[in-house]
Amino acid sequence: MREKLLRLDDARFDNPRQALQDVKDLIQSGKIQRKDCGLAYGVLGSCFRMNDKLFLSAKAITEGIRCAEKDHHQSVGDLLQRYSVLVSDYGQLQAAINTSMEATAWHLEFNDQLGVAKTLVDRGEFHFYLNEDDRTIRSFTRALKYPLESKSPRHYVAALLGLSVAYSKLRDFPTARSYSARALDVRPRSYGVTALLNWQAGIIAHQEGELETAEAYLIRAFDGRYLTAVNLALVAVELVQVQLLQGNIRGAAKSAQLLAQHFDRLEENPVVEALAAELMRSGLAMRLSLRLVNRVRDKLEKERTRQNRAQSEALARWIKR
Amino acid sequence: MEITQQVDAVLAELHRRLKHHPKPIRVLENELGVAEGFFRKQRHSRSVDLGFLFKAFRHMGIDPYELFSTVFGGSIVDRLPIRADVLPGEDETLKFLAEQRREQP
Repeated sequence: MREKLLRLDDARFDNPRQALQDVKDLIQSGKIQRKDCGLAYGVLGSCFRMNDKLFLSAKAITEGIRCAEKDHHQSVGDLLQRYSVLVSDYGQLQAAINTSMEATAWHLEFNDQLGVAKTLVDRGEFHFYLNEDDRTIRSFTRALKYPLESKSPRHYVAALLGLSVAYSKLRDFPTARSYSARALDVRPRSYGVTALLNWQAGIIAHQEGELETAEAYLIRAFDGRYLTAVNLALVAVELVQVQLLQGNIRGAAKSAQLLAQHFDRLEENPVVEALAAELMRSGLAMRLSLRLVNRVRDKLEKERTRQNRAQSEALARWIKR
Repeated sequence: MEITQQVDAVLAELHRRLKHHPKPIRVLENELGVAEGFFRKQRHSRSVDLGFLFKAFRHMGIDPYELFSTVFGGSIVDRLPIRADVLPGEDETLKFLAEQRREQP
């Protein structure tokens, strides 16, 4: 049962809706034993989270902690770790770090080295969003000292990608590239993660002036099934820009048109939909320019920030003062 | 509670307990000194290194979870930052799992 739950926990990254349904079916089959209750609540809560049902996620994980605290202490660390990620969704990054520290303490209590490493990866992300560059790098680097590669490739890749993004932010592109290449070498099973890795490798190559390499990575990153609407549009913008910089106006126009294939996804967000339509119209009329592309990118990035902030603000009233 | 208040509360409880601790006082003073130094340092930082803290407590023969629940009251759930109990929304699977837990011995 435990293995089944853990498999569903991994599956949620590529097909969140299906994973949620599967975990619900598994629980409702009535076969979950008391000792696995904490994990069942945890996986269910994480699946709710991946489906943007954050209130239900909080309820499930909280109930899981209550249950594990009584029956199965070994699961408390894992549940607190899941909870810390949820708290970060609520925009409470410092609280997320504190909860993650507590998760680490529980993992240490049971000498769960893998658990400690996972919390370090999550904390690296929280520090990144707080613009604490030193702590970000320290957390991810410490996580890599544990045998994550063999035991949790997902977290191993997340740590490498996190380091790559952190060094890119510091404009240390050679170091960023080395981490990005190591992550790509792992060949993650998740299509969504592969799309993110190719996007990051494309950004680095672009910054290093290797436009053809950047184009190749960005074409691979352009996967409408696994990126959010705003990220998909951002990948398209990066690709169009790289092609324009190479003087490949026809290729850029064609790339802009690719967005049409994913219009059902883009429709989820009216701002993204309008910006994607503008890019496509300009492509059709062969009027794409770097100025237009930069303007669209700025607006997309603002929309991404607005989206994140709006979500945090809507959730913040449920945070205890 | 703010982190600083939390640390002060834990420290006060720690002092109270150590007054009645069976270990020889000199050993205790050393251990308390280490713990206090640690607390004082952490008091000014934005987060508490709980891993180190728990190790210090264990070294003194104090169960950290029991100490925390005395200071902060009740279970871990009471210290979680999100008020899950008042959040809107219901789910059949959550209800099912709760019922199943009640039925299982």
